[in-house]
Amino acid sequence: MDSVNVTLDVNLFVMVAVIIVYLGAVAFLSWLGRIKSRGDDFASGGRNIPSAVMALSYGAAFISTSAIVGFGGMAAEIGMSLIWLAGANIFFGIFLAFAVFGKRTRAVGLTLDAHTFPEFLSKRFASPFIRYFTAAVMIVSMPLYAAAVLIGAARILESLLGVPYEYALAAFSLLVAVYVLIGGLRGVMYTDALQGTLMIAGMLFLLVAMFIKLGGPIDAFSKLHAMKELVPPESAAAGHQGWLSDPKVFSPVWWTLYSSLVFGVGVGVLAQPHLAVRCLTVKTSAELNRAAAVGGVFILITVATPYVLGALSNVFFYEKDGVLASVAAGHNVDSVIPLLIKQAMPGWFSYFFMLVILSAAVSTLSSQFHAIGVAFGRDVLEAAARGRLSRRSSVLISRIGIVAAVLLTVFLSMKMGAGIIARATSIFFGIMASGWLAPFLLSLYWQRLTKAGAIAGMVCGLTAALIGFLFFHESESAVFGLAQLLTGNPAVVMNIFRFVDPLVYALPISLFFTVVVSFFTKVTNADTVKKCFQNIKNMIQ
Amino acid sequence: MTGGEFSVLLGVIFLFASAFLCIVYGILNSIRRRPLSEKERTEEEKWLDEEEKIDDEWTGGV
Repeated sequence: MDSVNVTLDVNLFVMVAVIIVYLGAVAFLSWLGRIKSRGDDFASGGRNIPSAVMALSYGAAFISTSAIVGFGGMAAEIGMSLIWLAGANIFFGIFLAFAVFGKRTRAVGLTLDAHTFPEFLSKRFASPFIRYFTAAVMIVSMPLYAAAVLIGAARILESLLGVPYEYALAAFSLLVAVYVLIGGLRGVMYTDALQGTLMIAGMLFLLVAMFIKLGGPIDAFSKLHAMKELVPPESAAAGHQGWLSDPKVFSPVWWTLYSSLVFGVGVGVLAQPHLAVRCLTVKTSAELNRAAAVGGVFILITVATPYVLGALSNVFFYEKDGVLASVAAGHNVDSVIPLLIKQAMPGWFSYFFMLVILSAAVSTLSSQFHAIGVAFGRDVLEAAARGRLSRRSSVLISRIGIVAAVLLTVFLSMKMGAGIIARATSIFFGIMASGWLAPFLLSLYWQRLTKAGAIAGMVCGLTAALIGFLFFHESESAVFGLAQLLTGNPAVVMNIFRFVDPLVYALPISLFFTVVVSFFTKVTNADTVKKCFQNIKNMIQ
Repeated sequence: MTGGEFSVLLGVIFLFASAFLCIVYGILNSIRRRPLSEKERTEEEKWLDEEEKIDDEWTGGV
């Protein structure tokens, strides 16, 4: 892989001043979160967060550097078919998450007085095991995802500003840890809202500036369409048919696009614990309706823009240097968007883009650190103490959990190799969606769902996903090396199945066991379930 | 237009249709927001009242 210099030409003093103003705003909002917080607010934000703040926070926590830089770069390679993922992000991640499942999540969460995702499931099924199990899986696997975001952010700082990777890593972690510790979830959501606003402004500017540069949207897409003859032979062999076309159906690129990205990330978002918990933070169900509108616009701008930019970057680099974007970026797709900013945008935009990137990374990391810390403090230690801990001690333990999460994430970030960002993200999304999506969504609709059914669904779905990642899905099994050890190949089965994301089979397995085991077992907490569904009826129109 | 290009076009339609759905749903439900039912109001007020009573341990009641 060739190395490409994407360091931006910036004035260091101006950059430092901009960052200080940004940090000042973040510090102020964290402080605001703190003074408005009460005891349980640390975990759930006090359940009276305004809808716009909630929607921006959800979106900002959802969209990280990997969405802007990673997936944007991927669009430079795959093309505009990634737009299906943006649509899925809005339809599943916003509309269904807020307007359909969110209201029920909120109604059940309020009935059970649940403040975290593990607590929600545990109280819904009257099972301490579910709480410990869910929290433990989060504590073990979420730092992988957090490390992926942290690595992405640090690499961008390193490449754009020339800051040493280790310093960037330390600075990011410290910044996020401090304001999560200070403000709790309310502080996290206030700062997320600021960061979400910056992301919208940055993306809108990028899109408009790019279209102007390429002669308007119609010209830009016409040029991109005309470039289909330039698809490299090896990409064409893997199914690539041009940047304005889907890959060949059932080709390796097609499976990667639809099973890992559109299905895995687009649908898998419904079971992400740090996002699901956002629905517990608003005051009324009506706030979720308004949040759907704000969230829809936010995702449309912040997700669709990098995908369009990524695809169109081929036109820009081809016109400028006569090469495709991936070639211009030294075959490192993660460098495409930073390089595009450097070569296509005005110099002053570099400062603003830095803030957009900072915002995207920090907002996701803060939610992750908060979720891991609260899982450790509230869901493991406080639950184990069975009421013997005071509220103050619980918050203190959550804070210790956050510090531990930060340290573990930094450690993983130092140890994890290059090119791990997408894999770590997809593993975490896959694990949570495979194990938790079916029991979680069914718990909102089906009174007959039992504790045993939920546990069976979680355990079987998780096991199937882990087996898939370890042995069958080549992009992960090749890294773990177990398949190589057993069969001499990077994946156990070397046909097209090695490109199929484990979520495709783990989710149906989880659903199957959740339903079948529920049919053969009894509901052990019928009164609680009845109350939950009564409140769903009362609280939802 | 090839099948692959048509699929991308469908993707674009899906993207804007989803965004439009969110916006229309959000706006319509905000305009036609019914008052809280007695049962719902009581439930939420009860919960909020309870929260109010909790001592503010971080700020000493600020």
